[in-house]
Amino acid sequence: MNNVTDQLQEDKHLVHKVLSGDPRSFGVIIKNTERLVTQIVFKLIPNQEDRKDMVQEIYLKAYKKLPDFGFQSKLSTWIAQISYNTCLDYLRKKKLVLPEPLHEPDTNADDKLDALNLQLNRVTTDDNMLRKDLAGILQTEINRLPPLYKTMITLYHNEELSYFEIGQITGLPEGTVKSYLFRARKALQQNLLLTYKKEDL
Amino acid sequence: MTNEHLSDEQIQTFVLDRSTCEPGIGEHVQQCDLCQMKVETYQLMITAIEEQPIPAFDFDISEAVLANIEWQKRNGRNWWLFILIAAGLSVSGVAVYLFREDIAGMFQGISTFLIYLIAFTGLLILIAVMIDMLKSYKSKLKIIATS
Repeated sequence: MNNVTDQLQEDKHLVHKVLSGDPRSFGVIIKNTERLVTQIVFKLIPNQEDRKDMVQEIYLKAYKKLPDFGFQSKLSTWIAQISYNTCLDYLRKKKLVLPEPLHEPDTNADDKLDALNLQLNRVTTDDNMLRKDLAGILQTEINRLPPLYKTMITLYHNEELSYFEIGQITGLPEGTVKSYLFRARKALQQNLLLTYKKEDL
Repeated sequence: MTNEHLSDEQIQTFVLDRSTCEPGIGEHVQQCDLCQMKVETYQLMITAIEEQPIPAFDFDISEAVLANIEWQKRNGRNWWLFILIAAGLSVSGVAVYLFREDIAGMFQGISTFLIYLIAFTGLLILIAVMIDMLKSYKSKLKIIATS
């Protein structure tokens, strides 16, 4: 609870300083939030050059909109929300694949996957090389997920955000976030096992 | 204890937050090889996700954005330039209005087609210059931002 209050106090202090005409404090806001923003941009924007433009556009937007920030969420969540929406606008403009809910994972594949599960476990538990392979395959498989799923997986597992915070960023209800994350993990696990099997053959 | 194999959702919940699991799930996992393996696969996958490298840009975002903000602020002070341009256009408009008969006299004897041709060519040149200025403005903005 104290952490939340401290965070809010720090947010208020920084926003107040920026609005009082100290743009350098905005630099501190950038430093505090750049990891989260970078994660979102990297997961949603495929082109490296566009990512550079995008991250600057996001912070310029945040700077301009800062007087409207009402402290209804953490400052970092608010900036992450701007990042997510700016990236979606970019994807729409470029007519790229829009983040969309995945189809239900293939339940018919479950039996085959059970067998693969057994096989994978037998070899990975005591083999470090295979664990390294798995990390490589996983990276590829995460990149193959639809952008919304990639983003959610990253926000939850790497940035340790709650379902509620992910909901605030994406504008989705908490229950939907939970359900999408479940489906994303299942799809990832299925793809991972199938790819692993293919490489093994 | 649950006798049927666990659903994927139950396994994920077990891996992520055991405290919220239904009673009997833990016991089932301990006694069922298949479910135990599924739990281990998820654990392995989630650990691997958490160990993924964190992406980063190869430039200082803070510096680039602050430079951009400064540049835009300075540019914002160029309102005087716009006021001067507006004043210039107004003076030209008044002059054209006052000397409209003399100006019209200049074009007497020239065919309408030629007048339209001159006006059209002038307009094309103006558009080309404006596009070029806009491109140059954008590229300068980009250079400032990433330098």
